[in-house]
Amino acid sequence: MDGMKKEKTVTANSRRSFWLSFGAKSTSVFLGALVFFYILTGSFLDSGFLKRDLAEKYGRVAGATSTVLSVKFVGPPNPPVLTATPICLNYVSYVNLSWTTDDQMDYFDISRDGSPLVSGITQDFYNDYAIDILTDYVYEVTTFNIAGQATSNFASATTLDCGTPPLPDPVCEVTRFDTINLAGFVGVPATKNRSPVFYGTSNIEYAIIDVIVGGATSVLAVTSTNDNGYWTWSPITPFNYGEHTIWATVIDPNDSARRVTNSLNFKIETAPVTDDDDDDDDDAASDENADKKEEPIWVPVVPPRPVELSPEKDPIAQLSMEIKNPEKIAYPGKNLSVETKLEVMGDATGEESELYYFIVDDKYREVFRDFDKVTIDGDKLIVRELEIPGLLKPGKYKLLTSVRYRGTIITVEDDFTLKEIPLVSLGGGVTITTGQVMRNLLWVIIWCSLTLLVFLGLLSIEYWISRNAIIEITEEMLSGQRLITKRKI
Amino acid sequence: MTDNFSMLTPSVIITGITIIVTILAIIFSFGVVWRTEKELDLSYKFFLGAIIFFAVSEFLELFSFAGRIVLENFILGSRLLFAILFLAGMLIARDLLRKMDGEKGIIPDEQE
Repeated sequence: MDGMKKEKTVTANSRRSFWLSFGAKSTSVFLGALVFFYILTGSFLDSGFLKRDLAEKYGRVAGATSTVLSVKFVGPPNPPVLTATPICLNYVSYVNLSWTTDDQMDYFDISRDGSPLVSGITQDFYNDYAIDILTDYVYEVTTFNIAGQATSNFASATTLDCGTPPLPDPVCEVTRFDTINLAGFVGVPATKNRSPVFYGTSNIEYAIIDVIVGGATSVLAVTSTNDNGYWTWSPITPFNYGEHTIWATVIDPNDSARRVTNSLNFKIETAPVTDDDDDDDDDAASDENADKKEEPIWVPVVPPRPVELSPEKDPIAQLSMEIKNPEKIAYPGKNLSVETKLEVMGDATGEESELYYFIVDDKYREVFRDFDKVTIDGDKLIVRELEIPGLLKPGKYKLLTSVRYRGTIITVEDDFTLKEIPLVSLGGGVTITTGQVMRNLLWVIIWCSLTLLVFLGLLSIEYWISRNAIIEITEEMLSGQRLITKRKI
Repeated sequence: MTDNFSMLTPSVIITGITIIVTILAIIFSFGVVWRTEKELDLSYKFFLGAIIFFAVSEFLELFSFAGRIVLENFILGSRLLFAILFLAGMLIARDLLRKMDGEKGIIPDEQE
C-alpha cells in the first residue's frame, strides 16, 4: 500500500513539473511572438504603434514623464429643474418630462401625483404615455448619487385630447367571379352560369355594398359585408346572355361619405351546341327544362328595356326592406314580418310588377319564394307577413326582396336567424328547445321525478301531521283558546 | 357545465324561486285545510284553489313564447281564476272576522 502511495506521489510530482515547465515554455513563446509582432508592425506599418499600444494598455503612466493624481470630492447632487410639457404626436397624447442635469447626478426616479412612476433612469427626459386625456398630473424628479439625493420642483401638466386618427381609405375588391379567381386575371372573365356568385373584400365591417349591374341585364341590389369585411352577392334572377358590368360600392354604415366603387366587366356565355343528333329530342327536352328553370320570373307588361345603369347616373328607384321580428329572430312555421319601401325617382310609370320575397341560405340557395302583385304608380310601403316553412332548418338566412321596374331588377336583402321553437321559456330570453330536452332526456326525467317526490313527500308529511293532530281547529276553538279574539274597541 | 351555469340568469333564478315558493304554499295550504273546519276551512280551500291556479299559470308561462296564442289564453284564464278564488277566500275570511268582531252572526265569546 505504501509503495503504491509513493508511486502515486511521484507520478503527481512529475505531472506538476511537466505543467510548470510547459507553462514557462509557453510564456516564453508567447512573449517572443509578441515582440516579433511589435517588431513586424513597427517595421512595416507604423513605428509609433508600440508606444501608443502600451500607453493605451497601461495608462498614461507608461508613456508619461510625470504622474498626475486628481481627487474628486462628490457631494449631494443639485436639485434638478423639471419641466412637464403635454404633447400630441400622431394622435397620441403624452407628457414629456425634461430636467437639468450635471455630472454629479447618477440616476433619477420620477413620481407622479405622489406615487412612483419610473425609477433608475439615467437620461434627462422621460415620456409618460400612461395617461388619461384631459387630466392634470403633477410630476417630481429625484436624483441620486453616492453622497445623497435631491428632489426637483413640482411640475404639472394637463394632458391633451389628440382626437381620433382618421380612418383609412375604404377598399372594395372583387376577388372572385363564379369559379374564376380574379387575382392576376387578365381579360374579361366569362361564365355559362347565369347566376354567378361575386366574392369580394373590404376593410369596413358590416359595410353596405351597393351593387349595380349594367349591360345586358340591369340590376340594382344591396348587400353587406360581414364582420371581416367579406361579401358575396349573386343575382336572384339569372342574368341575360351577353356582356355586363358590375359596380360594387362599399359604403361605411357610420359615414355614408366614406365610400369607394370598384367595377368588373364580365360575360355570360351561351351554352355550346352539341353535335349529337341522336339525342336531339332529349336535348330539346332538356333545353326546354333549362329554359323553364332559368326563365325570368317576371312576365312584364312593358317589354323589358333595361335602363342604362352606372354609379354616375341617378337611380331610377330605391328599394329598402326591414325585418320587423324582434332581434330578427324567426321560427319555423311562424311569421316573418317584413316592411318594404319602394321610392320611385321621377315620374312613376304605373307598370304592373311583382314584388318577390326570397329566402336564401348562406350559400344563396333559394329555400322559399313568395310574391305580391304591385302597381308602381308612386312610392309604396308594403307590410307583409311571410309564413316560414315549418321544415326549414335553424340557421342564418337572408331575405331578399326584389322588384322589376323599368326593366331593371332592384334587390335588397336583410339577414335573420331562424331558431328552433323553444319548448320551455325560463324568462330573460333563456329557452330550452325540444332538441335540448331530448338530448338530456335522462336528466329531465330525474329532475322531474325528484321534484314530484319532494312535493309528494312534503304533502304526505303535512297530511300525517294534520291526521295526528290532537283536535281539529275551528274558529270557535281558536276563540275559546284565546288564539283569536274579539277586537278591542 | 359552463352552458348550464350561463343559463342561470337573474330571470331564471327568480322564476325558479317563484315555482318553489308556490309549491310550498300549496303544501302548507293543504295542511291548513286538513286542520280546520267550517268557515276557516272554506276560506283556505278557496285560497288553496287560488294558489293552484296561480301555479298553473306560472307553469304554463314556462311553455309560452310569442306566437302560442292558445297557451296565452290559458295563462290569462288561470290568472283570472286565481284572482276570483283569492277574492272568494278573502271574503269568507272577512266574514268570519266580522262575526268574531260581533258585527254580525254569533259571537264566539258568547258561546263559551
